[in-house]
Amino acid sequence: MKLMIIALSNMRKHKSSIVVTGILVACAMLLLYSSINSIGSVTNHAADVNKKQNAADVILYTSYEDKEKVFDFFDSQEEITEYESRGFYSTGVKYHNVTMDSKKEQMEFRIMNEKDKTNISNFIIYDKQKEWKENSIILPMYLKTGLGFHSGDEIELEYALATQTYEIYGFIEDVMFPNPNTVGMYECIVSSEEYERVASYGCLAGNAYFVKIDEKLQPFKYVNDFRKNIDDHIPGISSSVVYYINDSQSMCYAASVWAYTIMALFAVFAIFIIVIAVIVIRFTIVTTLEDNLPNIGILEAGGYTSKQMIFANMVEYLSTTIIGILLGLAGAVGVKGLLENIVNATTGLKWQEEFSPVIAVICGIILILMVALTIRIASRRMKKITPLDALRDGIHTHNFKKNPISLEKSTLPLNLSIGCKNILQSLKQNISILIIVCLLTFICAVFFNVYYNVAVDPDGIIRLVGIEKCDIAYEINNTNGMDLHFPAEGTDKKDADYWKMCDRIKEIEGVQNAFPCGSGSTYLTNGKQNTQIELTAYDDFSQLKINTIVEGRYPEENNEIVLATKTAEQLKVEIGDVVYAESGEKSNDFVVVGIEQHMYNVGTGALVNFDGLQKISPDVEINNLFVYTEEDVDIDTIIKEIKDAFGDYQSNLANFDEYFTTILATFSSAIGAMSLFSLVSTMIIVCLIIYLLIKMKLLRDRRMLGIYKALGFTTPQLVGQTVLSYIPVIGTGALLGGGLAILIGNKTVAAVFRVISGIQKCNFTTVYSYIILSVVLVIVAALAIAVACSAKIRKIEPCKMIQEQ
Amino acid sequence: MAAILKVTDLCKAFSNGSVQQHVLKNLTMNIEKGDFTVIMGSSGSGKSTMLYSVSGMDRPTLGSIIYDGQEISKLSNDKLAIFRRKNCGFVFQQNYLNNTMSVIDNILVNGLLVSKDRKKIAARAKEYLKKVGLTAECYDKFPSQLSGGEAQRVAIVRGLINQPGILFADEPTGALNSQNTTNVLDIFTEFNQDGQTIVMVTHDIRSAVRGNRVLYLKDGVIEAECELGRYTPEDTNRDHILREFLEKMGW
Repeated sequence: MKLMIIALSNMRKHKSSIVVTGILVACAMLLLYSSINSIGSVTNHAADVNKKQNAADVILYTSYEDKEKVFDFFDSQEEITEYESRGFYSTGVKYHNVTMDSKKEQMEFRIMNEKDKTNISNFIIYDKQKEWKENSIILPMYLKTGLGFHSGDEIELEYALATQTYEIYGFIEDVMFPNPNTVGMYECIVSSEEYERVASYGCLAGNAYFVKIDEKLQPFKYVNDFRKNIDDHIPGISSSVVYYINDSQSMCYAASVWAYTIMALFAVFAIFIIVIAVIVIRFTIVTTLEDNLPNIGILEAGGYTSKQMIFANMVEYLSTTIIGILLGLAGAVGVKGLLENIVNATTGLKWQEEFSPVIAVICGIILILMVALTIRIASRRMKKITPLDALRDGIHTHNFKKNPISLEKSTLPLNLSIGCKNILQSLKQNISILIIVCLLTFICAVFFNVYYNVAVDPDGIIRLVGIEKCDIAYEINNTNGMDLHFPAEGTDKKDADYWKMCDRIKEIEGVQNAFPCGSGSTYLTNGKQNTQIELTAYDDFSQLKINTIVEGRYPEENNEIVLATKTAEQLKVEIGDVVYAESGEKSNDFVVVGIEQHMYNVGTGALVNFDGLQKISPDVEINNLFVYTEEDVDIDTIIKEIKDAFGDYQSNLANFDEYFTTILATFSSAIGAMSLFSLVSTMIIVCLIIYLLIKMKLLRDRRMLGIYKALGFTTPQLVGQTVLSYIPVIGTGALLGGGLAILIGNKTVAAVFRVISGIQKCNFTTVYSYIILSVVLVIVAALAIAVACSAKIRKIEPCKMIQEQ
Repeated sequence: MAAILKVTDLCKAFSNGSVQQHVLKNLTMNIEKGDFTVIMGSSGSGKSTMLYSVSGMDRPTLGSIIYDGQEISKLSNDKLAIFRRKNCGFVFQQNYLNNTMSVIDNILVNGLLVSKDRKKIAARAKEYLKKVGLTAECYDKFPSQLSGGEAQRVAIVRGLINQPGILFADEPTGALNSQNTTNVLDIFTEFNQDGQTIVMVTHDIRSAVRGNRVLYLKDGVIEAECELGRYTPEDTNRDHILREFLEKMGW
């Protein structure tokens, strides 16, 4: 009880530092709890969704027509325990929400029939309207959580050959196609009447297969075998226009990866705040000790032991910590809705955060232990002080050897000299602050730079994603006898129909270039490791706008291959090694001549030239054309002209800019939010540090400041000295952080993306103005707070300071 | 001699809510150049209040304080600070040296407020330190490494470094032992003999006899004045004269 009285008395005396400590602990608890609770919970939610829907372990979407062959294949695989199929139509669509009057966006749509239900991967519809109509449509949850669509809204879909308006009936959560950042397509469901009409809108028909495997197997491991085996069993299936295989386990992770990134950022800031709280507590205890020495002397003279005094400190700060923890927890519950919105907007899931007492307790214990350890270490000095020393105002443990910045020898102006003296006399503390500010500013500046390269000038992110940046992507769904296969041996390559199409497109005014792009799938092995990958092929790589090579060069011969970074890592091969591309019974060897990087397909894949693709998949159809227009040409006009020229062929014509903007939209918003969060957090943390340091300094040095006033220092001079004791540290930290952002910002981003998708090099444009702005904002905020806090020096009256003795 | 400081009808009142306390009441006095004026009085008579008011450290409630032709009673706080640094030196009962600065820096921090000529100020500081009996060994020491007497001598040099018009001393020997008290008083006498004007508040007769006049403060007014003339160590009569004066004042 008596120690409680001492603790309460101390708390009353140092209200501001107690409050600041409480705030820091509350913020740390909020961020730590939210991040740890969410990370586990989001993945669990994705797994729960899969469970509710009886989701397939492996899915196959293909335009391959022979369903029976596919079923035969499934029957031949003992690992497969169950399967079902459902038809779909695939098409590129321009859509916009008529009710919200949103702008038109481009996306690949997979359209399914409402009546065509399966037990595996069944749909659970949320926010259902009362009545199902002929023009009803069910859309992915991402359009609700990420773009703000509502049930009942009208949405217009512009197909290749028709435009239709639908009413949103509801939304489905689907881990396999959660958001455009993960898989660039939307799966939707229409009425059976409308489904029949969709066939005439210029869409490509296909079948979706949903496969369940033996419970003992892991889908993400099995799917590689599945890819190889189906290709062996059904030669040519991988050459289908639509051919997509994935597994539920990988998608559980992929769906949540951006949520993890955001939560990881929260956790990083939580750690920063904990470190700052520890510094603040240590500083406060040391200062309070010095300030309170006569009282401590009296108590010790009266019989209190130093252990009891330390315990009183513990009571003081641990009670503050516990209050901070409870407030932080309440805050975490309070911002639950906001957190859910952020996570759901990036994942396209309908996740709800559930309170976890276990995680709350663990986070609380971590914080309490850190604070207790800090108090224990900071209070050690109390053991060394005798009551007599304390009553005589303590041992002045000044390092007698050091007199930094001697006023006799310094050439700096007086106030600057005194400011620098103060900095050097608290060197350890100032180094800690410098490091913290440097790291915070670095994170802030990097985020702003990333934001610029994603949202303002997305060329940077486009290069990183690695998708070739044409102006129009033309996907041909051959329905009118055009032959999209490789020409027969001995004939001129340029005689192929797809080349003739390119020549015809190049004649259109405003078109600069057009060339075909081939794709396929193959099983690569180095003899020991193997992996199934997607192949991309061009005839002439020099025409590409985006160079994704990080080592070596593009393939020139038919036995040369460039591997994506993740594929090269999986196969443990380097430039000069040989890999074997197996398709069915055939095996072709390729020399690795280059390593390239991209973000799609989780950083896996390979590049070959057309001759190489012909070796691997001689029956593949070349159905993608990339069209490049001149500057300032209206893309939609060119698209119309291409449609008019080749109206007979069902095709998807996409304005690539619009398509990419849609995919990037959520990513840009998330990066924008994280940039703003990191800037605001940095400024708040820096301001808190300055506020507390100056508050403590004024408390500790108020008598000396009064004496200086008596001797003739004006208030502005003393304010200047105080500001100069801290701002150079903050400024240096911020400048170092900005400098680091310029020097290693791109490398840091590459390192982060490397974890997600094998990126080795990041060549984002370094936007000096954004980085400088981050640095300036941090310094200005710190300066403003420093001046505002130091202005209290005005109230110090020299007479009172002298007469207080 | 011309008066360097003219104080006319000086009043100082403190209020604490509804209670007002008039500490100085229409106090009038002049300080001549080269004077060594001692202010004495019983506890609570307003000695320190008067010292701080006339030195520009505190603003009077009413009255006029003219220093060398300049009215200072209405100056703002910052202008008062500028006035003080140029014209006043201070020595307090506690030395109030900055424990984180060396001896020489403690003096220079005051000296460099007025002059940017570091070499000149440093040379003057060293000259004064020698005069007060502190050797070069002390220059880089810190206050906690000095004795009480040594620290007070450093404080005196700090007060004199800008060659102020008046040195104000508030009980400068109050925390010193007998030997150090004598040392400090000898320093004051020496500087006064060189022309330094000094105003000192004390309740110690040994200190008071060093002055050439003693003003006795009672209930906020100067009750009486005692002229002692210039101090010489041989003048043993001044002690007797002062004691008689103080006895008359009821001290």
